[in-house]
Amino acid sequence: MTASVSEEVDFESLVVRHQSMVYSIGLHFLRNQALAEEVAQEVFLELYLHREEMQSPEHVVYWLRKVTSRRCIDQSRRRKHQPKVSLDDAPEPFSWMPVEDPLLKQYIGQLVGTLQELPRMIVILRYQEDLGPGEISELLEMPVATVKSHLQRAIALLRRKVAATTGDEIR
Amino acid sequence: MKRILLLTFGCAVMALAWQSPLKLDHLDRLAAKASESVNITLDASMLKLAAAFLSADDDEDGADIKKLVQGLKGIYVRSFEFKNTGEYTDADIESIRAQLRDPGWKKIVEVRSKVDGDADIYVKTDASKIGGLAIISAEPKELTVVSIEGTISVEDVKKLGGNFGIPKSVKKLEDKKPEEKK
Amino acid sequence: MMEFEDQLRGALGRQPAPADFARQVMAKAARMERQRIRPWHPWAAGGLAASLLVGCLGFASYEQRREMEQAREARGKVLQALAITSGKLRRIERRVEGIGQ
Repeated sequence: MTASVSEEVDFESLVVRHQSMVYSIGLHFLRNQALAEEVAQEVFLELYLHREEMQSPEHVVYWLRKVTSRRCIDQSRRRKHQPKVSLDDAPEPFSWMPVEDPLLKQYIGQLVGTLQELPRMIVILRYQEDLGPGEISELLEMPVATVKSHLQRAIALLRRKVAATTGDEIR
Repeated sequence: MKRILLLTFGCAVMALAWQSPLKLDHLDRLAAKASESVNITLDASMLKLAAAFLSADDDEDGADIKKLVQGLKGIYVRSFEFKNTGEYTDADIESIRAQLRDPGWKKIVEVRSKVDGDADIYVKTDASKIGGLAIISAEPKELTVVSIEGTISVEDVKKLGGNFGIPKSVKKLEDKKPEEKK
Repeated sequence: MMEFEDQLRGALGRQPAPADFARQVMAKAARMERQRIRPWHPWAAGGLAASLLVGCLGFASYEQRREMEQAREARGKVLQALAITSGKLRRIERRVEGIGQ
């Protein structure tokens, strides 16, 4: 196998390994399958141009999350088509009544899509990628305290919205 | 001859009443007073468009919802949250209840409370099937009206009711033989 | 709080990319590579004509994407409507059960 073919196989295996992660961040953020696919393709093509700079598998993952986040936020700001829910309306926390409901799951995903760009991406990185506030702050280049504040208020707002839909009272 | 004409006209009106969706437009003015409002109008063509993409993500739940939606002719929701009480009137609700007194609609649940407000569930019956579902939830600071037109099975209503299940009165209706439901 | 976080994880779980995603990326990467190696060629006019054709097809696919977006929006409204209906039915059920006790 020549060096270039081997490189191609390596790169393709990188795409296959990480496509779900990149695509899903785009899908949950942009709530549009076609756009998510477009952004994901752009991210991997950019990775292709920078593949020589990758130092380790962890570096690739970090780089992909960072670039995907940035491209999604840029894309959303360009489009400005999603209705936004202001975090200033976030209420005090209340007790949650657990109900397993497939419709609710879909609805929660939709509600996440209505958050402002930064809190939306923070929620996705936290709950899709299971990243801690420190890791998110590095990716998005913002202070940890800001990440934590956005996360707390976004969760409170989402819980209130879901409770209002399911009819549960705020206590 | 006149009687035959009147009877035919009456049947046509009943059929039309049975077929046409509930009129909810008079509630739209409440949006100006509401702190939050939801206005959803999905007729048959919009539902068809939505159904094409409900399982687009290879999501099991999407496929279930698609199956539920395929039998429907319309989904209409008006939901308003208010900061204060007294922002909507009895007349607002009465005009909807009047429509639901038409033949074909049957009230299966009625809840009245001076503290928590009123709630009604109606179903439109057609032999062994449910041809529509209407919900009026009138709480002190919230008014929600839902109208679902089209064939909806008890199983689908169960899914809508989630793990808590459908109201028992609807289950009893389904279990009765067709002649007993009249 | 933990249960709502579980709901969020469930709602935001990773979804599989489209079936031919990797193939499309590799095809585009290969095109990028070819353009990088050959920036200009005498029969670039043919390439230009091909680009125009792709542009037209791109417009057609833009229209398709717009329709897809409309369908997605309708889908979102269906889900919201069903979630509201589901929530109200459960709430009324709880009230009825509460009265019975």
